[in-house]
Amino acid sequence: MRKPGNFRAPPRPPSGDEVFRAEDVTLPRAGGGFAVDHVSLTVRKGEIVGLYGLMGAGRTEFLECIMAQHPASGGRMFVDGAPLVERDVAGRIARGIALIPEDRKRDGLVQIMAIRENLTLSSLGLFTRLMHLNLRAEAARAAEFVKRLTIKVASPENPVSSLSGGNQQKVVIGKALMTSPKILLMDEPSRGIDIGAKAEVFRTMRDLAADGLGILFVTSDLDEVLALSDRILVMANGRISGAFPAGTEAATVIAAATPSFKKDHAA
Amino acid sequence: MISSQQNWLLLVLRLRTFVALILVLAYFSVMAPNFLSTANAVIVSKHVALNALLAIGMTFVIITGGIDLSVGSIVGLCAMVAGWLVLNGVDLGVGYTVWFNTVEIVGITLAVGIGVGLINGLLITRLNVAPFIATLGTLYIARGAALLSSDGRTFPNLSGTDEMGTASFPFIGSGTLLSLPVMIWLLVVVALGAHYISRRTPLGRHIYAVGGNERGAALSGVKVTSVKLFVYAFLGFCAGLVGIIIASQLQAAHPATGETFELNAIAAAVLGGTSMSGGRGRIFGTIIGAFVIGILSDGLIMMGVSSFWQTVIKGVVIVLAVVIDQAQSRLQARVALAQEAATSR
Repeated sequence: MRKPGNFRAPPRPPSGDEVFRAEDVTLPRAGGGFAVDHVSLTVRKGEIVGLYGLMGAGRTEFLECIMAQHPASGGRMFVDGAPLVERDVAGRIARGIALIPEDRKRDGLVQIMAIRENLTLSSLGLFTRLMHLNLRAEAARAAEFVKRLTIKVASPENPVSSLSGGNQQKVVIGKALMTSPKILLMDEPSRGIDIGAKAEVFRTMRDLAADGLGILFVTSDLDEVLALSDRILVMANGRISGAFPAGTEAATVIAAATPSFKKDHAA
Repeated sequence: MISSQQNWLLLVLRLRTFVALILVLAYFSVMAPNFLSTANAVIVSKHVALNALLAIGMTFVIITGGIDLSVGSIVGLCAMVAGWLVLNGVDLGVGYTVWFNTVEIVGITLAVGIGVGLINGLLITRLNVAPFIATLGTLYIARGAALLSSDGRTFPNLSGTDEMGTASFPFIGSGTLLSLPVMIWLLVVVALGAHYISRRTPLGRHIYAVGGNERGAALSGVKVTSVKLFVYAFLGFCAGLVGIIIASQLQAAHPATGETFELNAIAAAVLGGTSMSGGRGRIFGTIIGAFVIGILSDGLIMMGVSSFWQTVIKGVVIVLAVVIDQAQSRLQARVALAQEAATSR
């Protein structure tokens, strides 16, 4: 049995080149103002960036902007220095962006489809030649990811809804990884899974970063952001309200996350 | 634990449409003499073919979580278009009329069917109209257009002429190839094509994903709009084909052609195990469903049962099919859960 609770990252070498950059990303709110208010940030290769904040700070909306979910959003984004001009999800996936949504049931999985079908849903092009889907190659690839992510399944042909929350989350992660992303966006990756699976998800994140993947993850759990991140960004009221290196005091991070109503009223 | 009894039950439930087919076949071969003759088999197949063609397209639409009520009207409109082209050609309005040969007429008519299907798809995807309402609208529009095209009259004598290259027009609906009716061949080709799309192409997988969880599919990079446009256009294609076959078979086109066809197509799909809530269904299941309905009505006719009773029986069979389908999904989920629970321990 693994000891839960101890997620502190071992010291790691400094991160590599910039893999993703967002400049002045905005998302207008229906009632005026901005849900995402001129957010700029960068993520480097092999770096885990934690995006901490309270509910409604605009973090999920920001990730959705990166994944082309909001046609009304503005700003510029770059992958490996080249501007991200694709307007649809498929195009952004092709550019190396992968999103692991917060709500597994609603956004992450097609519950009635098989585990295999969910794993490969974003990467069917890998097994396709002239419209023909090579089912054998697909099954082999799915089996490989089941093994790699240690997803506990009786058969990859069972519906994904029969899995536990933690194993479902691993399927979502597997689906994202199969697209060979350069940057992984994770929205509350530990929500709704048991403590053992949580530790496994965190270990997976660190392994992926060690392999050179840039990870930007959103969390509302202070311990989590402090333990996992190489760099901590804090959002409040749609804005980046603080940027801290790993090892920052919890109190400092919390202070930055607290929306400053005084300033807003003055503005 | 999963008992072997449960596994057996699940197998029977999975194959229920097939079991139903064998049951009705067995019943009528005993009760109605001559039912199991080759001649009768061909007749029944011809009756089934039209509904099966529509039901195949309908299956795709229902798997995406949609519905199309306009197919019957598209059939009628396409029959009228084909009839018009055979009889009148296209008057360019300067005293000059363009005539088309059979192949061109088939192409234009299919394009009209696909076009109406695309309009359905655009209404649903671009203008966000609920499928039920959008296709209810096109049901009336297409039927109205069919009636307007001839002022409500029938286009008679579509036997075609050699000089226009339309003499082969009746062949589509009444000709035979290798001693099988042409329309049966058309059904075979469309069925195999649709089955291939559903099982062996990314498009097919995307159709199931959209029906299973549209938002989740979109976030996985599935182009939901294109998928929906395809399924409605494909159903429009099937409807166009059926319209051509009917006009050719009767050598006449009547604007009321195809009324209530949409309901028979939905019935066949549902009987074949297609889930109205989307995400589940098989092409071959649908075809078997169409055969069960067809054999049921033809068999009852041969036994001399009143057609009013036939309608009642058809309804009972459809409701039964859905009830069994529900039971199957519940059992299947339970068995899968038990299996996975056993491994994670």
